[in-house]
Amino acid sequence: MFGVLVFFLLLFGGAYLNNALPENFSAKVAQMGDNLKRSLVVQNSQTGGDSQNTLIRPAARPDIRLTQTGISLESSPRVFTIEHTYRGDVLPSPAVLGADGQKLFITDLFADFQAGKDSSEPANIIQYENITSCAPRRPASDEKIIGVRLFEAQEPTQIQAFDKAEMANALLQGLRVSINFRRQIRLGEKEIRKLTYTQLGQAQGHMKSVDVILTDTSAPLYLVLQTQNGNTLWNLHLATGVKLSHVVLVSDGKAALSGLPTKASFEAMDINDFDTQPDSGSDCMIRPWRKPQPNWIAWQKAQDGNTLFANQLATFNKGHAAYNDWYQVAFGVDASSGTLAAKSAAHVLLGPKPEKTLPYHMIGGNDLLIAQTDYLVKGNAQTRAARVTQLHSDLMHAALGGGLETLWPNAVTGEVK
Amino acid sequence: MTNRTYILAFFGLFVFLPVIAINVWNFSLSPWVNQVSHYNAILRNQETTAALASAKSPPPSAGVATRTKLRNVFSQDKLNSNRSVSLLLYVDINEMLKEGEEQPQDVYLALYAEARAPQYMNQFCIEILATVGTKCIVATTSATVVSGGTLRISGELNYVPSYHLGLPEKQNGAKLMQAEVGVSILNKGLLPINNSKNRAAYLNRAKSICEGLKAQYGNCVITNISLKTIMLTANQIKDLPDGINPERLDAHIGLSVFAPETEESYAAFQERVRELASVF
Repeated sequence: MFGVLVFFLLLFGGAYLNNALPENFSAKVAQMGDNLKRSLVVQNSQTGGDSQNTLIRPAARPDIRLTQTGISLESSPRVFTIEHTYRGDVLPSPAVLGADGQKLFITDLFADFQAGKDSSEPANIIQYENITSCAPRRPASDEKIIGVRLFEAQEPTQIQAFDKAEMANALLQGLRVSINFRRQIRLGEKEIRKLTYTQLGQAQGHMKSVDVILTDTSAPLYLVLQTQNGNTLWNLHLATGVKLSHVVLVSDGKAALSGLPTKASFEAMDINDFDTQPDSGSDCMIRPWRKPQPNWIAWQKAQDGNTLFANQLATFNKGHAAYNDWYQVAFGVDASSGTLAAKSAAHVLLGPKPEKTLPYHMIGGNDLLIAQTDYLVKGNAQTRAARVTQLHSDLMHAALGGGLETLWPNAVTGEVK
Repeated sequence: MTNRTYILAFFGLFVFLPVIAINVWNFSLSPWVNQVSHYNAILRNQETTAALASAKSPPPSAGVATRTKLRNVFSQDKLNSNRSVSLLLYVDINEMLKEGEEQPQDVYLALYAEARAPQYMNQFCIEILATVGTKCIVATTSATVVSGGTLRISGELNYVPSYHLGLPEKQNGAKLMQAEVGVSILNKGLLPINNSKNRAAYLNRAKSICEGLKAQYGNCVITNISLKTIMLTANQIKDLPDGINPERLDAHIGLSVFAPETEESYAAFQERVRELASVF
């Protein structure tokens, strides 16, 4: 009886409440819906019918504040968005990270730049070995040290690079979760959905690119490119008259380099090869901690008395101090010298804005230097996905010695005497 | 429909759905309560033990969780996680490979071990069926690389008991009392070798202890039998004869009875388990 009553309440409860609640409550709910619709219309009108230079990011994430910079160009307004995050700015394409807060568009530097068009494969892929010492070649007295320091890159490329160990580990983690969880479900005699190899997990190793535009012709350049994450592909663009003598890559994992002039030398270091705990007193603390800046939201929060963020900044400061110690020994200058830093950026201009636009150096069709890797997968997203899945499936099949069903042996019954 | 209708209907759903769920759940319990009452009536009327053996449902207890657990612990026909045999073994990777199969590269060892652990563990179901179970399934497995090609494989097998569990009777203050006891037999200070024969001996021993408890409490379940390999250390081996097998077997047994629980009765139960375990 009670069940029947509840059933009817469930059926008609919403409608009843709709009528029974005070009118101002219903009106408020209706207002909420209208507000939501209106905000969506505003977003659409901002993003719709724009040129390819317009980029609007949703402002819903509380940890991000947006700055829009508009520059009129002919009839079409161009807008880029800088995301202010807890740990520094993110400058997606077409924004260019420049010195002294310059706000440039990538098309100001390259007339032929087209987002997403650098899709062909590199002509030659040359795998390099990281150096085992944390003392790269000492800069010569006439060389000018410049650099870029990012937390990570973000522009997608058509290259994925990963090792056997990464592939095995991805499958292993998936296997550990999947085996026991699914077996528990089966014990409850519930139906198990068919598991596929791809659901177990895959190593990805997506390489992400950063354009580095060099325009400083005042001296031979010694370039230090640093990311706290791995999988960064640095794509160099040299203006006429620029002399690049040496490049050092510092990254957590694999890095790659395109556009290196034939006369320039090159060295790479993987953070994982060294003791990079700031407290350890290691002479090789090469993890490129960035120095906190006032435009970080964490900085502002710390200023407002938030101790959590104050502690985070203290960690950053400590990390950066240790990194700076190594940097000064390795290169003879302070880590901030000639270096631009951000949480992430698609394009970085080191030097003055060129008077004329440059030809864009494509990754496709040119040589690519990349850290030694067991698997290098190229091509469009579909081709790469198929290849990556095939590699993982083959390994998993070999590891199982059969199909996935071997992970869940059937119950054994009978009396054994 | 307007926005407010959707939102208010959604609100109604959140408020009333739990009430419906509780109501339906109560309704579904009714036949089970009747069934248990019927079996209790049989018990009171001193009917045959065959009729008792067919009773599959434990009596209701204080809480829902306990009641469900009791039903699972005393199920004579369903696999569940309340009756298990835990195993830990050290295995060479070659033991997990097929005949003629090439040994995997070191970087893949952990993956191979984890992937093949379920099939490897499945072979121990035969030992369970030969001693304490009528049905067995590999429940959980885990594998790690110790060194070189040596792997540490552990797993849990769930089983349906072949021994008669007895009937947990409804009594005031009755609870599921549990005890765990080490049953390893030392010979000159050494645990026995971890082999099939010794594992079977411990499985049978668990059954004997449980029989002893059933004679006193009317019911007993072996909730867990842990058969774990302990590797002799280099220090221990140096004083032992050459060629000694370093893989020794350590056994623990977990047992449960459903009986009135007081501080005294619980202590007496623990003592009784220890007594039975000391007789071999």
